[in-house]
Order: sequence, then C-alpha cells, then structure tokens
Amino acid sequence: MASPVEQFKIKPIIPIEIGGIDISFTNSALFMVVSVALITVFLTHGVRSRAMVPGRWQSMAELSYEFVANMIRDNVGAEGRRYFPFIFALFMFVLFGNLIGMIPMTFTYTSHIIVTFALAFVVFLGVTVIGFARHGLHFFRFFFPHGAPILTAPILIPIELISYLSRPFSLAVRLFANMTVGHIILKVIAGFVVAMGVAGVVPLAFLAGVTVLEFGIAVLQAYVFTILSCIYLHDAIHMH
Amino acid sequence: MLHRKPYLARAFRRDGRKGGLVPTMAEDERKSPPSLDDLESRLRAARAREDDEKGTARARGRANSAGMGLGFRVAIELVAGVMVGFGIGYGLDLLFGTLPLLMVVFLFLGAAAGVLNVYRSAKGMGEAVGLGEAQRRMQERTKDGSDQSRGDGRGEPG
Amino acid sequence: MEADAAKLIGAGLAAIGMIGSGIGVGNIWANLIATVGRNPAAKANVELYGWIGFAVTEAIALFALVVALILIFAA
Repeated sequence: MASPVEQFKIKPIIPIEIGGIDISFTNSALFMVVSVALITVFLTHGVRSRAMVPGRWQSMAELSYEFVANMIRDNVGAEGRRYFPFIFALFMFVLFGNLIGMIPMTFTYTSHIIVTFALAFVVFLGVTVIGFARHGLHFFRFFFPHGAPILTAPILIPIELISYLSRPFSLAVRLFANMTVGHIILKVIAGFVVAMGVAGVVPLAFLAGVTVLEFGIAVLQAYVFTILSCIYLHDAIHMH
Repeated sequence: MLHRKPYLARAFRRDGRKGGLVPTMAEDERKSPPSLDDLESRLRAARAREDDEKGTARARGRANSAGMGLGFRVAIELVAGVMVGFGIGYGLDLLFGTLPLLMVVFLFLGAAAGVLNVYRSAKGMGEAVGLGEAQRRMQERTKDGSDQSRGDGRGEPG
Repeated sequence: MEADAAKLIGAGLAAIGMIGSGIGVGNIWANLIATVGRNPAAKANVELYGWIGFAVTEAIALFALVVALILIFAA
C-alpha cells in the first residue's frame, strides 16, 4: 500500500534550472496551468452564445459570476466592484484547484501550504496596500480600538498587530489543512478497502460518503477563502 | 441559489382547479411580451419562495458541517496567533540578542491575539447556523451601520 | 550532546503540562453549553465568564509552552 502522503509529492516534469535555482515545471505547476486553462475555456465557451435564455454552460458561467458578484456586494459594498476581477480569479483558481484534486490520479495544488500561503499573502499585502492608499497614516487607527483607554495602548497595539499579522497564516493554513486532511483520509480509507478483501465493501461505502463530503468541502473552502478575503477587504476600505 | 429546480419544474405550476400542469407564463405572455424587468422580479420572487421553503430544512442539515468548520477555524486561529507571536518574538530576540525575553513576551501577546481572534470569529459567525446565514446577518449589521459588532468587530465591550 | 538530549526531554516533559489546560478548557465549554442548554436566557450573562475562563485557562497552557520553548531555543 502506498503511503497516504505520496500523492502530495512534487515531481519535476520539465527540469529547468537557472542560476542554481530550481524552477522546474512540476506536476503542481502543470495542474495550475490546467486549472487556469479550464477556467478560461469554461467561461469563454460558456458565454460565447450570449443567449437571452442561458443554456447549461452559460447558466453555470453566469451563476459563478453572479455568486462572486453578490458576495462582494454583500460583504464589501459598492466600492468592492473594482476588485471584482481579482476576487473572482481567486475564487475560481481555488475552486478549480480543489475540484481538480478530487479527480483520481491528479495533483491538488491547494494541498501545499506554500501555494495557499502565497495566495493568502497576496490578499494580505493587497488589502494592506489598499488600506494605506485609502486612509494614509490614519490606517494605524486600525490597531487601536475605539474608545479604549489610552493607557492600554502598549498592550493592545501589539495584540492587534499580531492579530492582524496572523490573518494570512490562518487563511492559508485553513485551506491547506482542509485539503490535505481530506485527501489523506480518502487515501487511508481506500487502503482499507484493498486490505480488507471482501469485507472491504464497508469502507468502500464509507469512502463514497467521504468523497461526497470532500466535494462539499472543496467548494466550501473556496467559498470561505474568498469570503474572508472579502471581509478583510471590507475592513480595509471601511475602517471602523 | 445552487438549489434551483429543473427548468420544467419552474416553467409549470400545478393548477388546482384543472388538476394538471399549466405553463406559469402563459397568461402574461398572451397579453404582452414580458419585459426583462418583469422577468427579473418574477425570478426573484420565485427564488425567495423557494428559499423560504427549503431554508429551514437545509439550515438544520447544514448545522453540523458548519459547526465543524467553525471549530476547525477556531483551532487554527488560536494556533496561528501563538505561532506569529512566537515568530516575531524569536526574530526580535535574534536581532537584539535578548534571547528568552522578547520571545516570552510576544508569545503571550500572540496568545492574547489568538484568543481575541477566536472570540471574534465565534461571535461573528458562531451564532449563525451556516455561512450563508452568517453572511446575511453580517449584511444586516453593515446596513445598520453598527460595524462594531461585525465579524471582526473591534472595540466590542467585554 | 547529553545536555542537548536532556533539553529536548525536558521540553517534552514541559509540554505535558498542557494536558491540564486541555481538561480545563473542555470543562469550561462543556459547562457553558450545559448551562445555556438548560437556561438559554442566561446566555448573555454566562458567555462573558466563559470567554474569560477560556482565556485564563488557555494562558496556563502557555506557561508550559514557554518553558518548552525556552528549553529548546534559549537554555
């Protein structure tokens, strides 16, 4: 039985090395390219007919657009409109990464913390830059709650600062942990199916249930990642 | 929105008198071609009706998985705060050469930040059943302008 | 080398202290849930104490963590 974590191994497909830095085209990169290509095909093919009454594909493309647009409108407000392309790209990239990972023999790039951390850090950096651009030095008010006595500042400001800095970590770890744990569970149960022979029907039924759950988690985690990005964006735009 | 009825079910309704299926649009369409606004409002009404019917049943089914998600989130939030605090403290210690001191201080500050984050995420999203409900609630709060008690509500008493 | 090994063993032993904190946090939430379940009207009153108790109990785990980390990194 193969090790349950073997599926997360990154293998170089086209080895490239420039200046001693390994920038090989790996299976992780391959599936990122695949997911971007799939998103492009899905959206462009979906809206090509531009029908008044949408067909299946157009309906799905419109549904995903509408979903993210509503999420931004509800959580960020009218100013969030201009950040729609980024949030939509983020959502689709994470969603397709999670869903492609559910196909057997594929690679789930969202199960690598460096990928999720890079995404979360881009969100964090972007939100901070937007906050500073909109509020200038007033943005530092963010780290001191309204109405708190000034004497508590030496304690409260570091606490708020750390709580702010821990955002990208919790955002990244959440997505990474959910995807990794889910895939390990699937693999372990699949190992039981093989090992138990005829009695393996029981874990097989369980496996089917867990697979359904994993699909749900794949969508839910993409949603959670995006909605938290929206909430952070809201905090930076409308400071309270 | 993910739980739309199939096209057939949406386009027809059951007629009480005749006891059969009748196209829902037939009557309006005979009078005048429906405008897009009209269609939009009818769609919204239909969706709202559907949400009302399904809302309660779905919310109950979703409660468990949402609770698990929240628990996961809370645990990660707690650990992330401590980790970031430790990282900052250790980095500053290496910088200034005061090894155990700042590490300990920032570890405690980080833990406080972690607990604060846990408190916020539990207060902001914990009372709601699903993420959708949390979102709606948050939306209402934002509309009220009482941003203090939002998901990340800073300066909340207690 | 032996001092290093002793440090690591000490750190591991210090981490055992978190057991108590785990039990404490579990107790707090269990009782809080039981209380709110019996008397939902008391939620607003009890919740604050629940959070304070959680934070304080959690701090006990930090002492263990601090000892463990000092042993690993500083001692």
